[in-house]
Amino acid sequence: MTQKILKIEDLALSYANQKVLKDVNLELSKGERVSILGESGSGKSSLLRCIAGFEPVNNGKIFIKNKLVSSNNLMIPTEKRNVGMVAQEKALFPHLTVKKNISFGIERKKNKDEVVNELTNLFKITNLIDKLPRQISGGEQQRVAFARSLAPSPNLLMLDEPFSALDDELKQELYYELDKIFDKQELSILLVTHDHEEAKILTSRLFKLTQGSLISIE
Amino acid sequence: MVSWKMLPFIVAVVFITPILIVLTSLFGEYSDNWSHLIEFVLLDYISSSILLVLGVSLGVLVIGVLSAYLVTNYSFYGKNTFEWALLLPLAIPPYILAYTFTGLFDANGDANILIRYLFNLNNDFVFFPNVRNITGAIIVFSFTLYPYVYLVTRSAFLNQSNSIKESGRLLGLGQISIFSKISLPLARPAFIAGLMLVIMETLSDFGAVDHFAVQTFTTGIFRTWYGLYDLNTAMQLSSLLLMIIFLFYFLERFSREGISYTNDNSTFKTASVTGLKGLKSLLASTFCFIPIFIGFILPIIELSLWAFETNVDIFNNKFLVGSFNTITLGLFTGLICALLAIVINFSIRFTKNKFLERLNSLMSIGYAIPGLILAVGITRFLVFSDQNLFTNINFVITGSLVGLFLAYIIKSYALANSSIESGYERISNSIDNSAQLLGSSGGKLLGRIHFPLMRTSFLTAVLLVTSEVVKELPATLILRPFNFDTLAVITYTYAAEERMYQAAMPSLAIVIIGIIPIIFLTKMIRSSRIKNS
Repeated sequence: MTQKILKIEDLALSYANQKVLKDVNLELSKGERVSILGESGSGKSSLLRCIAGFEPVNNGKIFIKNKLVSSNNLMIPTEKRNVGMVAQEKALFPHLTVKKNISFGIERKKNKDEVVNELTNLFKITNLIDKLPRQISGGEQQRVAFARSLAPSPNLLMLDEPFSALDDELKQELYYELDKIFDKQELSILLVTHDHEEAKILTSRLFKLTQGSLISIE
Repeated sequence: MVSWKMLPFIVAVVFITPILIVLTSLFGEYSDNWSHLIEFVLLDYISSSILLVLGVSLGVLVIGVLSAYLVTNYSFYGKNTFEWALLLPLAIPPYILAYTFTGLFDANGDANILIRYLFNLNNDFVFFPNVRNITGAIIVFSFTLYPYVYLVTRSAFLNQSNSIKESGRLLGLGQISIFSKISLPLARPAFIAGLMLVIMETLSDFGAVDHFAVQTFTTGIFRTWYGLYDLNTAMQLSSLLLMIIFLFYFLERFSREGISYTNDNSTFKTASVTGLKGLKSLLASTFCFIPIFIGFILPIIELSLWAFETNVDIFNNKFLVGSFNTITLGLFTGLICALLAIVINFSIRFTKNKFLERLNSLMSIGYAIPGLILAVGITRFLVFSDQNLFTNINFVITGSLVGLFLAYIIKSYALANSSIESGYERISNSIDNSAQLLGSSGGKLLGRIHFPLMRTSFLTAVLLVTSEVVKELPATLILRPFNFDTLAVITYTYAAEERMYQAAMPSLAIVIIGIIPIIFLTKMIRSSRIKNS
């Protein structure tokens, strides 16, 4: 039986009496890739923030690897959930080199250098390791962001419109490479996007979030 | 076009001459007093200055950085008030806190008397340790100067995108590690810049170290001049201090250039504020309250008690004349500085001359020069002018108000300039183009368009300079005309004679005027809070 990485049961979230998410249910197995499509403001990013532990939930439960991490009276801190996220804003640490950004989450691991080497090779950024984020291009920064989030081997990698600031040519190149990397590493991916084509290329199951509810579309 | 370029050039020459005069003393003759200084006291000056700088740096960093982090990232009881109240100690010049400290903690100070009264102890019992030493000076400087660090660090923390901290959490960091590994390194250029200002202020101070009998460069310069009557050696000693200050000045400039890297990401997410409850909230409130209490509330209470609960005639003639002199000097200097700044910035804008821009930046160096050193340079400059320009009459300008105004203007120009510069940033170039197309250029453009649009910046500049002039002690003490007192001089004279009750009212008046810039800073803080909420 395939291992369940993520399970969401009847999740509800409100901001100032406005319902953002209602009765959201979702399951994700190891190696499975799922997309959530939706308009701006539909609650896609809020759902990811709940899973990451940045937002407390009003109702429902979130399990990661069968362990309850969020409910209306429980909130396991983000740093203890072992989930990764790459977003449009990349959020690289501007004072650290590419190498130090990537190794940031695995500083105490013995095989730190090995992991960094593997990831820099995988994302073709070996020539950038001593550079600061401001010294590299937007596309390269996004590769570093992916490498950094994969370094701690997260249970789940969440992608919050990570390609929206990139040009079309660069996007196509990254889709192709990421598709191979995700397959090779058997990663569980939850992608949030408003781009239907992107969702189809990178994931196998598609959902749509409308008026706070999640509907399966493909 | 030429005339618009001339004014900044002339002003720069006037500003830089006293500094150059001080520095050229290094190439002159060295008297026996210099050998005496080198042999017996210079090492003391250097070691106590280093100790003072290290202690104050540690103090301001702990108070300034931690309080800035707390009010930016957490919500706790009184947080909105602490956000601006943490600036209040800026209104208290270090020498006034020093006077209050000795009045409170000396063997017969009010704090010891209170302890003896509360616990029914003998009159010879002393609870608080002696503060008239370097430790007392470190405490005084830390609690009056930390707002320099707090202000810039708070702004740096506010500019840190939340997504960066969230990335840290996703990578396994807890709250403390996020502070030490992400927020603090990112804010480093900002708090280093603030720290450099603190170090410059500490090294420039005369009143507090003199009161605590701590041997530093400034007390050494003063004693060499007024004790040994050796202006040349005082200038040589000043040159040494000046070079150390220049080092910190350029470090501060260098650090400021690095501040921009904190906002490297194209998409900025406002920092999320974590709510603290119970004991944690209480601890955060207490941590923020202590510097406000020691740096502002305590001296205000003590000064008010001294001023109002004694039979001393507080509104005496000396106080009234001193207040009039102080306000007049302050406002007049403010007006001159603001006018100079507006005309110089206009000429830079009008001529688009990069050299003038650099010259204007150089003119702002005056804020870093200790008042005492300016006084030394200006005195030599005035004596030289008197000897060469007015050969028939003895000392026309030396000992007049000219030297005092010159010192104030050089020291305060940077404040006026920053206010006028930010005012100009808000006037679009298209306004200039339209005015020029409609026939207004040069003086007309300045008088009919820029000046009316810059009224608020102009007024701000005048008030900021006034509040700075009111606090200035060493330059006033040396350059004032005979029998001409200001509030700072009256305070110093009374405190030197240990007549703290009489020193209280002029001190309070200085503090009240010193609150003016804090009102402006508070407005800035409120607007930044609105933008970030």
